[in-house]
Formats: sequence, C-alpha cells, structure tokens
Amino acid sequence: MTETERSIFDSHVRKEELLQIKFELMGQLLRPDVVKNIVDAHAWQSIYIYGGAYLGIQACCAFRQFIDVPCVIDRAGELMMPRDDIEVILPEDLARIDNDLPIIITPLEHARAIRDQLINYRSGERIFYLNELF
Amino acid sequence: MNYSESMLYVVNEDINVRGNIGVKKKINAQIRVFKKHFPKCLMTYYAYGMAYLLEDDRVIEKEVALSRAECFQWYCTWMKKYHCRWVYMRCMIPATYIYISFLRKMKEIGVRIVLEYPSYPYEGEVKSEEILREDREYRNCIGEYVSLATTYAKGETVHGIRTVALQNGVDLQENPVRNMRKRGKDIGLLAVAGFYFHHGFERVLEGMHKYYQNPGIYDFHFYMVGEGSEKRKYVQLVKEYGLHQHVEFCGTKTGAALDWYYDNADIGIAPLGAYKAGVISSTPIKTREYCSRGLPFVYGYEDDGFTGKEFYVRKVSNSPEPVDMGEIIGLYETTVENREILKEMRNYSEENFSWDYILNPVIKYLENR
Repeated sequence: MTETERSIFDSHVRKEELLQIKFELMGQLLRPDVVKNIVDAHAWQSIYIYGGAYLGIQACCAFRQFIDVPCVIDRAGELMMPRDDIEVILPEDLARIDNDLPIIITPLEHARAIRDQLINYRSGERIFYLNELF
Repeated sequence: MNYSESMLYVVNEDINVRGNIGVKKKINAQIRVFKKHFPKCLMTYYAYGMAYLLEDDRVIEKEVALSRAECFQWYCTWMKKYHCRWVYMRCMIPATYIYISFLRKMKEIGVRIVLEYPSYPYEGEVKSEEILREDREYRNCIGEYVSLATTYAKGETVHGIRTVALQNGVDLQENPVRNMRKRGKDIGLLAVAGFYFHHGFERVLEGMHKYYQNPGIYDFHFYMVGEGSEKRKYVQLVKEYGLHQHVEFCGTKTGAALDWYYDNADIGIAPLGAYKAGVISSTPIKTREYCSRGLPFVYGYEDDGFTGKEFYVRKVSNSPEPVDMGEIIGLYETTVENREILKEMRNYSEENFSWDYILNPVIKYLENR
C-alpha cells in the first residue's frame, strides 16, 4: 500500500469510528435510566446544550425529560432540523447571560476548539463533552 | 512526585459497561499487586471517544479521542509525561494496523510491553470472519514489539511471543467467605456471570426440566445473577419448561447484595458451555470466586486449578447434554452443613488463586529487566 493509499484508508477508518461513536451516543441518549443517572450524579437542575446538529437536538430532548434545558447554543444560530420548542442562542450571547449553568458540548469533531472558546464564558469544571458523561 | 519507572495498565475495552464487571474487578486486583512492586501503577481505558488516565481509580487525565489512532497517541503522550517504562496491556482483537503502529511507537519510546491474552486460543470465540481475517493479517507482527505475553492456557508462545501461563486469580478482599445454610429440602443454585454463550446455563435449565418430570425429594431454586446476551434465551427456556417457581433472574448484583445470594446458595454453577467455543481447558474467574467464598460448584471443562476430584466440586461433561440433577444432589449431600469445606476452599484459594501468587512470575520477569 502506498503512503497516499494508506492515508486515504486511515481517513476512512477515522470517519467510520467517529460515526460509530455518534451512533452509540445517540443510542445511550434514548435510555432514560442512563440520562437520569447522569443528571443525578451531577446534581444538575438546568443545563445548556452546545450544538444544533442531530446529536445536540437529541441530547436536548433527552435531558428535557428530567431537567430544564433553556436553549441550545450554536455557532450558526440555528438548528439543523428547525423546532419551535427549542430556542437557539449564539456562543457570544453567553457573555450577557448572568448564570453559571453547565454546558454540554455535542459536536465531537470540534469539541476541543469549542471548549477553548467557551472557557471565555464559563469555568472549565462547568463545561462537559457529551461523550465523557457515559 | 516521582513517577520514575511507573507501570501503565492499558485496557482496550470500556470497563464500565455491565458485562465487564468481572473484568474490571480482575484488573483492579492485578493493579493492586503491581502497586506493591512499582512506584506507581496508572491505568488507561477508552470509551465513547474519550481516552482516560486513572490513578487510584481517580481520573487524572482525559482527552477527546475520536479514533483508536488518536486514543493511542494520547496513551503515548501520557507514557512520556508520567515516565511509564512498563506497560501491561490486555490484548486487542483483532490486531489491526493501527494497533501494530501503537506497539511500534511504544517500543520506540523505550517502553517494555507485557501483553495479556485473557482467552487463548480465541478464534472459536470470535464469530466474525472479517475480524479473524484482519487479526490473522497482523497478529504475527506483534512479537516484534512485545517482550512477554501472559495467557490462561498452556503453551510456550503466543504469536511467537514468549509466554507465561497464568491462572485466573481472585480478589480475596472482594470475595468473603459465605454464611452456610442449614440442611433442607430446597437446594439453592447460583450462577453469577455475564451470560455469554459459553456459559451454557441452559444445560441446568434442561436438567431441571428433566428432574421435574419425575421429581425427587429436593426442590431447586436457581438464582441467575447477571445480565448478558444469553439472558433472553434463558428466559424463554424457563417459560417453555414452566420453571418460573424455580428460577429467579436477579439482575447484576455487587457488594452486600451479591453476598446475600452467596449466603442463600448451596451450589455454584460455573461455565458449562466451553465446548461451544471449542475450548477444552480454561481457568475462569468464576470457579475461583466460588472457591474463595466456600461455595461447592459444578463445572464442565478441564480447569487447571482443580482436578475434578476435590470433594467440593463436580465435573460434568463438556457437551450440550443436560446436567444430571442427581450429580448436584450428590454434591449437596456431601457438602451441606460441612463447615470444614469453607475453611478448606478458602485456604486453597489463598494458596493458589491470590493475584499476588499468580502474578509472581510476571513481577519477577519485570524486576529482572
């Protein structure tokens, strides 16, 4: 296998692994007992979800069964699948919101960069990657 | 803090899922032994795209790692940061190109690797031909990077790697001696397991079905503690055979809740389906746990830890035949209210199945390098 072929192959492997992780997270979010355990373990009453793609919307719906999710934070300011019951704000809006609610980051590919941005508005202990909750 | 010559225990599966409770217990017990011999023993594992590094069960590093390759990069970063000179790793099946690259990288940074094969040979346990094909392609490269393998099967080499044959051990702290029940007409059977196909507990259900067609003086109550892929089949059999009164699915239990089941059991049921995986000889943790608790048990394969002649065990065939409940009654009658067996089984466990004893050859090997 040439270097180029290896690189293309590796890239496909990475994509497939990422899809598998997302698929598994989607599945876990469908389990109320798992979501409730997460909420109880952190003693959360209200949280923000970061990311308006499918995973973010599903996380929002899953957590809303147990606690308040006032809105979804999204860089583009909109959801991938429009919904009237979910308000969307921009990350910059956090600067003018006076609370310290935890934020759950759902876009896995950009998770680190998003965390670096959010650290301007929240302490590190209040920012979570969705995949570290399971 | 001096991390000089630390040991890193690398786990390639998610140890927090229910089916891996036994694996987690075993890893923790092994780590406790390594800690006695190395300044530090850290542990890594990977789950849902997160790589974790733990010390004393506390997460000290975590990173998003959306592929195995990225996960392995973080492991190497941590090995350097915490000066880990030794790695004890549970093998990954299939061996992949990325896995081989990880082994190569560890060797390049001066790490010595001991690779544990919890099950060997494992081809009979892997159902996917695709996985086996990939494994066959790469596994013969492993020996270039690994200095020692440990297995629970007899043999001098695994994929060309020098091998130390271990037995599965038991964490004696986690497995106290049970309280023995009084003689009665009901016999408590106990299976504690992840309910995989090789456990073969349907053989007991079939044996009970046969027994109740022409019942004797004893009644059986079978506690099935655990969860797993075979549970659905067991539930179906209980329904089909009308054994609701005699079989209880208890779910996963740990700690004091698990102790209760041991206190209410007379006979343990160890794996009975080894034949399905093409395995003749094995050293499952379960028989060690039953032994350390003082619970006589039935098993169906060659177990390196027992001859099958001990008065507190019964070896049945390694086949799909239903278990003869008469064998279980015989074992019950020879062991019930015999308090000596509690002491004898516990002593035997301490002398043969403690992880300090079992890992001794590995420790000696590492200390001489």
